[in-house]
Amino acid sequence: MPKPIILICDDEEGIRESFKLILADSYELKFAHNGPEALEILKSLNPSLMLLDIKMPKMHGLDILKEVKKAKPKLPVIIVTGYQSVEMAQEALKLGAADYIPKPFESKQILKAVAQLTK
Amino acid sequence: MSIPLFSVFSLISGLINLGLGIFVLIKNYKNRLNQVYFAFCVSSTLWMIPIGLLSSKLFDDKITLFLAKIVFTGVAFMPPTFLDFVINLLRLPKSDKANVVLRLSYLCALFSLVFLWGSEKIISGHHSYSWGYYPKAGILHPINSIQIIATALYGDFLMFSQLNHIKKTEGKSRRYYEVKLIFFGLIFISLSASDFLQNYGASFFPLGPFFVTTFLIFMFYAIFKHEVLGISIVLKRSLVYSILLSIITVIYFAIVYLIGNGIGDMTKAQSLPVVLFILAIITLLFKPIERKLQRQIDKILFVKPIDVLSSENELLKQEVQKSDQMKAVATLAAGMAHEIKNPLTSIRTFAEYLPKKYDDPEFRDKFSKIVTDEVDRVNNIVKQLLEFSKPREVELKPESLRGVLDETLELLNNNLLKNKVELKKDYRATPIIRADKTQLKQAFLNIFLNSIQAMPGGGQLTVLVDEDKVKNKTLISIQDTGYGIAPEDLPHIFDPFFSKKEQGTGLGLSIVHGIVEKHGGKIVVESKLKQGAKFIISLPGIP
Repeated sequence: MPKPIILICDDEEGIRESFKLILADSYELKFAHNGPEALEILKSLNPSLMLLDIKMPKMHGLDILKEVKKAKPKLPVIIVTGYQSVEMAQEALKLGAADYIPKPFESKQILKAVAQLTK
Repeated sequence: MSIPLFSVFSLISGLINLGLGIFVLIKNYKNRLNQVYFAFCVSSTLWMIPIGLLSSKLFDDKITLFLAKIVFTGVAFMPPTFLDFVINLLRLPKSDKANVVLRLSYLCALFSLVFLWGSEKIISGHHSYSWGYYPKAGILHPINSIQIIATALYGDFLMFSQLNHIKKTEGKSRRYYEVKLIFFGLIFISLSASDFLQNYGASFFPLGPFFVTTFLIFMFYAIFKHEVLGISIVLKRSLVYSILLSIITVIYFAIVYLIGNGIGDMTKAQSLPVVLFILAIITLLFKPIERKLQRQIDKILFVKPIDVLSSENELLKQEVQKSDQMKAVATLAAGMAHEIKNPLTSIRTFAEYLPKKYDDPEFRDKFSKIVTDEVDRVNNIVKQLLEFSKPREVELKPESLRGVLDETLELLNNNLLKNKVELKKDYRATPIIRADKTQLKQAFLNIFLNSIQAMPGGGQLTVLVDEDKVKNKTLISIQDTGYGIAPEDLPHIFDPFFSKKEQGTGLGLSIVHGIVEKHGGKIVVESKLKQGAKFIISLPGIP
């Protein structure tokens, strides 16, 4: 059975490597360094889930979320960010995010959220 | 049975006085000043209401003596509460000798109560005057009267000397007007000590209640106009104007009525032109008088003196600055949290997987690289933050601007070459400026690096220096041909932690802004997306 594909959009190498450590055994991971790159990948890829940072160069995470939801309305998106504000979380959920995980996260937090949304 | 007008006046005035005291207390009951003002109002009401009842001559000797003793109870506590109010209003320190006088004054009031209610040595009965009954002085009354008058005069003296002190130190500030108004009001309260004369048989009318009423007017005015005692009442102009209009209308109707009576004997044919003439005059005068009265009301109630307005403006300015600082701190904290949480996440995850993957050499290599990089990054953020939050003072010395720029650009030679950035220097002036060379070099370096990073595919960096001889300013313009700044980002470009770059803390331009300001200069940025950016710095020339 093929592994579910997860698209990870984060500009930080350390974070991308962290996701690799946590998820690579059970999932197939694709990486984007910024919003435009992620949107480009989505044109030819149908991932089961997307992990998205908020503060990134070129495009704000919430703007990326809007575009993703336009292109793939059913794709679950988890926001993973260092900006821990209630307003930001509410805004993200309003725009259709499936979950909101603040950094620094625990690996089991990520594993649990990802497992639930890729069932 | 008829109640004399004086009685009614004293009673109403006493009740209004008590009402104002309660109102002041309710508005800010935790404030000591409001509390002592309330105590003062209670004391003066204890004096005024029984005085009103006594002058009605409605009661027998026993009740009259009881009322007379209540009058003196109020009188005994007026000086200490008065002095307490003055001390609190003037914010005198606890160590001030006025507090010793205050304690003595309270003690005297308590002693006099013992003699007042335990004997007839202070109030021995009552005098019967044409306008009403009045308490009769006992044998100890003169001592008490002297003490009371001395305390009141001491309070007035304190107010007067402090008023001059405030004028000298703060100018005609809001506090000056506040103290001045209350000072005038309290002078009237002190004048009411003249009512002691009736205790000794002087038969003229007691003026105390009128003095207290005058004091009340001063207090009302001080509260409405200058928000004294921390009370702010919003009087709506429209309401005041409506009341005014009603009063004018009533007056006009009264005039019309009186004139109507005056011409009542005339025939219809005779009276009509007279009535029309009078109405025309009234109509013509109505508006100008109304406007004039409105202007006067504006002046009395709504327009504040220029000194007060300027000090209030200054306060507002400080509040805005404080709020800006708080916003900057909030931005700083949010940015800092984000910048640090990312490396923390990586370090945490790698540490978590260390026991499980320790034998994997690839993991160990990554661990070493990622953790070292992230720790360096946190260290760099902290260093920059310290630089940002506690920048050292500038040491301004005459420096050649050209020298500062060239030395900075030399540091970037390799960087310019590597990024295919062509440097164009356009030094139209070579001024000597007062600068902290190290800090100014840091500022230029930050801008140059920013510009180079904005041109990943190469471009041109133009450094222009010019002078504005009229304004004695030096202008430095640093222009690149990079991807520019989005219009919505322009207002935030100097905010701490604001960054759109893949790498960078967002503190670089904030530091530049701080350094330029410390040199007495200004920095602005002009940019359009995909059309490059231009930073213009103006620095003051040497006078």
